Amino acid sequence: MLEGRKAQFVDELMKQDSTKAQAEKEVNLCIERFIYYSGWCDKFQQLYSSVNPVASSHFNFSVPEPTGVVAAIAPQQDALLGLVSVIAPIIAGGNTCIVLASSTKPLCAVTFAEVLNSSDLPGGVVNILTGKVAELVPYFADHMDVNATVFCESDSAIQKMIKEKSALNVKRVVLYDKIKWADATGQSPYFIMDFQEIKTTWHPIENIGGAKAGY
Amino acid sequence: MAKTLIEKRLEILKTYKIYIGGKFPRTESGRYYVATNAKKKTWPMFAWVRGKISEMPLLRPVVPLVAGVAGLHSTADKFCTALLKCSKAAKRSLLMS
Repeated sequence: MLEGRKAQFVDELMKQDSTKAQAEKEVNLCIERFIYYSGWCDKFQQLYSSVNPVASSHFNFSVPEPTGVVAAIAPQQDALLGLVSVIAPIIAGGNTCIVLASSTKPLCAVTFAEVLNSSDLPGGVVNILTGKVAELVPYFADHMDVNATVFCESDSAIQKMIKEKSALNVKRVVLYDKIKWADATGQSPYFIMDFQEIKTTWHPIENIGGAKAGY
Repeated sequence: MAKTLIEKRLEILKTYKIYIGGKFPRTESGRYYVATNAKKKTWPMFAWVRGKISEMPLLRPVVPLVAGVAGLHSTADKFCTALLKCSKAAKRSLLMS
């Protein structure tokens, strides 16, 4: 879907001060990034799961599970690539997200919403808002139904506010202020793990009358 | 006269809405803003979501729903399938172009 709208995205990025070459590179990178994360969807669980040795008669294992609802304030500069790089790992991990698009460069974000809407992604998995960051951040961080907040700028006052408010309602805070999205370091399964909780299960196994454990 | 009118045709710009719960509603705040680029060229208007009478109530029906489904691996799989499908389509057209 993204590919079909490539021309439109390139055009919009150019309206947002990118050159044609930069814009084309960014759109291609976005598509590749989506392919990258979709590949991880059914694989990261195996990497980060484990069967744990325990002393009692239990089968003990740990698996990553989605955090839940993630509120993200998308990067202001990399309007499309930043947005995709933030959204993709969140939904690849089975979370849902509410994203505040770049307020100075919102054009691509809204078009991207149209792409998502026609990509058989269930409604409500990705929600995209436009508006001013400083005004909306407190509501993102305060909201009791939101389980994690992502902030991508280095504005220390806002970072502090998010941390304080999130401490009150025990919300995860993820700061991506030093990430260069266009680099190879801008994609990694660890971005998926930022929005996963490790859940450990103690499964009792047969141990009758002092007999040794068996399945 | 008619000719000047045509020459001076005003571009009808789209007013962009927000995307919540698979729909494109108008912002409850009723406010919109215009973004500009370095050349001071303006683009269509964008919904300006406000906190107080915000879209947050709008999100309310979505949030518990998504919070509920987010915990289920089966639903996670469903998202993944959609994502995979999406990227496969992208890859196909990438190979073709």
